[in-house]
Amino acid sequence: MSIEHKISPAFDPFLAGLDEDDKRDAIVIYEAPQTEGLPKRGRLREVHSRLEKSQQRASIQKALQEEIFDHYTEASRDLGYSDDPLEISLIGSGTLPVATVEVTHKTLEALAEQPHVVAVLPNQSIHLIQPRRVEYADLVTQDNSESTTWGLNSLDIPKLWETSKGENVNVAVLDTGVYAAHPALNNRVKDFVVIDPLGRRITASPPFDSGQHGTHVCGTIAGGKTDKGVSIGVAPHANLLVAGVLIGNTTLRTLLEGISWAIETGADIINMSLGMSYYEPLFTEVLDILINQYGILPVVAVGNENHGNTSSPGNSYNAFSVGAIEKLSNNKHDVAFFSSGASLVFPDQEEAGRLVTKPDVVAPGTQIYSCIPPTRTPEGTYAYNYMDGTSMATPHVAGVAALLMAANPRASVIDIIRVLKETAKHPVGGTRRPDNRWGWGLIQPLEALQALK
Amino acid sequence: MYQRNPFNHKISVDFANRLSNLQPQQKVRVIVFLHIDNGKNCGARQSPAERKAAIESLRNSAKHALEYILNIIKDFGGQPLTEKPGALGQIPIEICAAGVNALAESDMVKAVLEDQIIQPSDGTESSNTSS
Repeated sequence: MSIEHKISPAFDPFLAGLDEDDKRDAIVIYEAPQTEGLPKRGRLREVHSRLEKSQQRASIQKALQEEIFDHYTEASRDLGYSDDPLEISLIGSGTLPVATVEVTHKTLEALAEQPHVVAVLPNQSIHLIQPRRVEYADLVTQDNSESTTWGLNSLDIPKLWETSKGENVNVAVLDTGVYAAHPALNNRVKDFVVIDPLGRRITASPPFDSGQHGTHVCGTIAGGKTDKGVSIGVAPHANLLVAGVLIGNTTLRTLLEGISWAIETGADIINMSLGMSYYEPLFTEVLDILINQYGILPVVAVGNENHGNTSSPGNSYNAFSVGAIEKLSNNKHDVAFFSSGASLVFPDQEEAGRLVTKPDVVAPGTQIYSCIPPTRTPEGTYAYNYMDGTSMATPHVAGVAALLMAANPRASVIDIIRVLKETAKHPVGGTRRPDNRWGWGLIQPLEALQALK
Repeated sequence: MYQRNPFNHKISVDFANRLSNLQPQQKVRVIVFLHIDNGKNCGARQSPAERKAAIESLRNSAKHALEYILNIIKDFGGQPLTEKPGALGQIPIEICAAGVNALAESDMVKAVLEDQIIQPSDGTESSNTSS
């Protein structure tokens, strides 16, 4: 490896403005000695064995460290640091091949050119990722002036309403329930059931929400206007079939009972802004039945676990999974930091191409304004709020699918998925997609409608 | 300890690992997806009548498969938790860890999933409510 490749580009800002003899701490990573494979995790005997191997590794590394440090001290002495030597210190007990080393502009290359050195990084400060302050006043002003939320506006939803508003399409929402008496959901909730943790169907009237999540999701799919005239729902004439499957400590059985209820109640689309505790690739069986036996489109959140992760069922190879984008200040969009994405290998799935990239598409999923059950706070009672998450992006896609289905009642689920993917817009064009951030890209409902025709 | 069958693709790797840490007689709740033999409709949207017929057909097929595995369930001290399969051809069952593998080996079973916990995809309130 060349010296340039060993030195992190983060040194440019890190050393910027310093004199050539000003010292800064760097982290040096050097070659790890080859050892036999470590034992499995878990059992006490294996833990002891792991500890012994780690100690062996540390002692081998120590010799390598000393060689690097001696050479670096000698080189820095030659460069004029004999009276005031550069400091070197170990990190931890030596189980990792890393150390802290003082560097200057002059000595950085001398460190990197040593054959056992793998990389040199600036010892930069780290910090908690704090929630960013959002200027809600600006968002409210913009939403009010445009009479739609930024999510609907960025997808050109009002133009689609000239063709379709989701009439006669049944969208099932499997969530925390719904506060159906909300003015923005007037007459939209056509059926409601609570599925308890034992999988029993409980008829409850009036429909209720055990939290706010379900009502917020329903508002994005089929909500009407706020009292200030802001449209919050993508498909304001679609029918909502709501199953409260996230009430109490619920399990997969509850979810599957909710899906069964949705099938029996006539769902055309199922919105699942939910996840499981651990990876379950066999959920593909459920999605396969929904798509191929019943012609139902399942739209699933990919999860909020950041880049490199995904959650089930959104990571099933046949899930139509949705990531979240945020609106930037310059009226551009980017994928939200929390939005999950990864590629998974399905060795048995020749048809799916074995390596499956998630999410499939992205949609607005930060600072999404929608309805909630009336909530009392010391400042007053509130009926709307902003939420972030792929949970909020998913109902945008479910709503768009409802518009497409209403406009093309004979279109198959497979065609709807295909046109939404093919017409989606990726910031670097078609050559780089799908990837683990944008999937196929930001959905383009108007183009998808044209493609479906 | 219960020994899982590493070649069985009807149980996820995670679930198989969890099963391997259970005693053979320790009970678990699972969802069994039964074999169904009705044809696919290739994703076409269904009318209410077509949907009803599809549910009926799938349930009948799943019921037939259930009859074949009732003895396995009984032999391993298990019990179905509902009387009949659901619209996905699924039935929740309580059974011991050894019974899970026996079920997965049956041709009448497509997959066995653990009845694991689900939760919302954590849509977070970014505050600033408005009336």
